[in-house]
Amino acid sequence: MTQKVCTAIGDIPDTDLETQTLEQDCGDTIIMSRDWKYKGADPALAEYVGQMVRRDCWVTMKHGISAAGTAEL
Amino acid sequence: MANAAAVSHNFRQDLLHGNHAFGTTASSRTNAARDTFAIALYASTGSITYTNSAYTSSGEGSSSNYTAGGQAVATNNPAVATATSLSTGYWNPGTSVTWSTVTFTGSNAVDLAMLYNSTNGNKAVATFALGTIGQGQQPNAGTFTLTMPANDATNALIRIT
Repeated sequence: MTQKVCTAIGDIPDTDLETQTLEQDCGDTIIMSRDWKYKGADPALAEYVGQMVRRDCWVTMKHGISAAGTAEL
Repeated sequence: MANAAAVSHNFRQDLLHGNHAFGTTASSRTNAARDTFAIALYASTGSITYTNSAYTSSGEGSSSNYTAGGQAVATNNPAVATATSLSTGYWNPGTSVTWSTVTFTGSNAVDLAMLYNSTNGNKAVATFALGTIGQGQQPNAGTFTLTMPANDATNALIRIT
């Protein structure tokens, strides 16, 4: 099944898209992004969306904040 | 078993429940209902720090499908983990937080999230880096998801030890 990304000037089939996923460990967080880029031949779409069609981002918190204090008096 | 002096195990959990009012006047709060907490996103060009005592729209990220103030997080009960005289009260939002079809690009890239109490004066609880400060995340007409850590004494979003 062909999926489409809808834009204001027309739909882009997934065959005209390439995805790139990047994962980065930032210590307390893990960042993952997925870029959807246009690789089709339609000049109007290419001009409208440029190269970037969509980017999704996921920020996974590995650790929160600790308000540490004295344990024993 | 001999006497032992330390902060009560339950105290740290009770703080998160709002069960103590140490002020010189009676607390005006009844704690009859839970507070609502929310998470707001801030642009990497902002200057929000731990000195901010409350939510502010200054420096906040801006996008269609993102409402100023961010969004409320799902409720969850605070818990406490104990080990001898030590204890850690901790709390995590009930679920992760997601914004759909948002764009935070360029100078509007977001690198900070603020957890705040939207029931009680928007008082700030804590700020959290979204990756590396200064290197904002840039969703583009896409989904932005903030996934919470494991809900335990080592990793939870808020821990009092």
